[in-house]
Amino acid sequence: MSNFETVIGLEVHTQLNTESKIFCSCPTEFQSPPNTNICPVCCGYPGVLPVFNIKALKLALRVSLALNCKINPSIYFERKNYFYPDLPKNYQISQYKMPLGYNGALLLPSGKKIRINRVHLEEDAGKLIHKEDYSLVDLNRTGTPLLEIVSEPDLSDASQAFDYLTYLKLILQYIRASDCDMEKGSLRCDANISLRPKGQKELGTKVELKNMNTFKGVRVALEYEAKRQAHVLKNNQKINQETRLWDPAKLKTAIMRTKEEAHDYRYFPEPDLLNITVGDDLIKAESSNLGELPLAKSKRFLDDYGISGKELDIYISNINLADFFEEVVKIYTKVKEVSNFLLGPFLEQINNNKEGFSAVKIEAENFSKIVKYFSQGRLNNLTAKKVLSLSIFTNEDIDEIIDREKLTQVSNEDELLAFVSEAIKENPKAISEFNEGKQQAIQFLVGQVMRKTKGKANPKLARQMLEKTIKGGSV
Amino acid sequence: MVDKKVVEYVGNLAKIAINEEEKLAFSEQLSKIIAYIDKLKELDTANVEPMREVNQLEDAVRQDEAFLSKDSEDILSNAPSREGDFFRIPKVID
Ligand SMILES: [Zn+2]
Repeated sequence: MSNFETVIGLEVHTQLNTESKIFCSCPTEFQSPPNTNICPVCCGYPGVLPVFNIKALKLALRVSLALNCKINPSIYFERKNYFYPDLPKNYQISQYKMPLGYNGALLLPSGKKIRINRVHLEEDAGKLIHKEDYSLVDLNRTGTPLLEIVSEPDLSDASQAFDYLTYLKLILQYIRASDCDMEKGSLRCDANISLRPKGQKELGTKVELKNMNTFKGVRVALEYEAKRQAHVLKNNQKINQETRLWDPAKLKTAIMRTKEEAHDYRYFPEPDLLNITVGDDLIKAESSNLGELPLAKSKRFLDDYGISGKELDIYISNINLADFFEEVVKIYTKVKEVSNFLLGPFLEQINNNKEGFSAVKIEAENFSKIVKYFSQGRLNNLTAKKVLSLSIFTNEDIDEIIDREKLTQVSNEDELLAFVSEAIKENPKAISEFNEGKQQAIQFLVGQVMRKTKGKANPKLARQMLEKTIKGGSV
Repeated sequence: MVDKKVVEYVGNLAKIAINEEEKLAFSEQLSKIIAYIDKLKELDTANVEPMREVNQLEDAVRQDEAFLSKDSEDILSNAPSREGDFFRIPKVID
C-alpha cells in the first residue's frame, strides 16, 4: 500500500434551488405525486420549444464565482445523445465545449487547494423504479436544473475527498445555490480513482466509481477501491479502465456491465436554444450575492465574539444557527450566555425534531428573554428549558408562558422555607450522611426541594438554606 | 463511405433494429449524405466563426416562475402502458 499514492477526482452533481425547471415552467417540487410536474417540453414532445430559466444561470454563476472559476462570456447548450427510459427526449441538454465556469479552485480549511476543472449547467433525468419484471418511470425530476462540478485529480486520499465534499456542500449552502441533500438526491457524487507508484508523474489507469449515496459512502468506497487497486498492482496485474458500482450492503465495488460504445454521445449544439451572454452586470450582481463564505465567517466569529474550537465548528457548519446567534446577541449582548444556551438546550431541541432547524419559529427577541431571565435567576436550568420547549416551535411569548405555567423561580426564603423543612424531615438518612461528611447528600436534598416546587426553586438558595438549617440543627 | 458496420453501430446507439436489406439501403443513403458534407468541407472556412444558429438573436430567457401544466394527464394517457401515475416500461437493467 505504502508504495503507491492515490489520485482522486470528484464529479459532483447538484440540483439548483429554483422554483421551476431549467427549460419549462414545471415546478421542481421534490415531493409531488409521480408525473404531475411534467409538460410537453420536459417530456420531449415534438415541436416544443425549451426556454431557459435565467435563475439557473444566476445560481450557476454564483457557484462558479464561489469556486474562483473563470467565466465564459457567452455560453450555449449542446445535446448529449443517449437512449435510456429516464430521458424522454433521448438527449440531455448539457454543456460540453464551453462550460459556464472553468479553471477554478477550492481552498479547503486544511489549506489544501483543489483545482476545479469545470462547472457546467445541464438538466436532470427522471427516476426509475425497478419492479420484479418491469420498471416504472416518474418524470417529475426530468428537467430540474443541475450543475456539474468537476474537480481536477488533486485529492490524495478518501478522507480528503470527504473533506472536499463537506466543504463544497457548505459553500453551496452558504451561497443558497442548492440544498445539497443527498437523501433527496439533490447532491450526487461520482469519483475517479487511480494509483501510481510514489514519485511517478503520469497517472495510473483510472476507475470510475458510482452509486455512493452518502458522504460516508464515498469515503468508504474510495478506501475500499484504493486497497483493491493496490492489491491488483502488487500482484503485477493491470487495472482495467472501467466503471464500478459501490455496493453499500456488501461494502465492495463491483464492475458495472458496460457496452463497448457506452460513451459515444454524439454531442452537437442544441438548435432550439439561443446563445446566452454572461455579461459583466450579471457577474457583478452574483458576486455581491455570494455573501460571506465559511472561512470569512469563521474568522469573524473568532474576532468579534471570541468563539473558537468545537463551538466555532458548530456555528460554521450550521448557517441557520449562526444567523440566529447573531440576531440574538444584537439584542442581548452577553455572548457567552447566549452561546451556551444555544449550543446546549436549543440545539438539543432542534436535534430532537425531525424537521430540524426549519421547524424553529421562535424569534430572536423572544428567545433573548429566556437567556436574560436565566442569568437574572428568574428562571433556573429546568424552567428555562421548559419555557424554551414551549416556545421554540411556536414563538409563544416567554412572559406569557412564565405567567401561565407559574414558572418564575422562587428566590424568596420565606416561600422556600416550608419546602426545605419538609425535605429535611422526610430524609433523615440523607441528613446523617451529610453529617458524616458526604457532600453528595446535600445534592439529593436540593433535588427534593426542586421536585416539591416543580422545578421552580432557586437551587443555589435552596442549598444554602439546607446547609444552614442542618448545621444549625434547627429542624 | 458508410459501410454495413457503421450502420449497425449507429443503429445500436439509437436502439433500433435494422434488417439486412435496410442496412444496405441505409449504407448507400448515409454514404451519399456524408459525401455531400465532404463536398461542403472543401470550402475554406479557416477564418469563419462557427455559426450555431441563424436568427442572430441572444438571451431569450424566462423568469423563474413555476406553474403546473394542464397536459400531465394527457401525457400519461398517451403512454403505451401505465400503472397508476407511472409510465410502465419493460424491465431496465443498469
Ligand atoms: Zn415541463
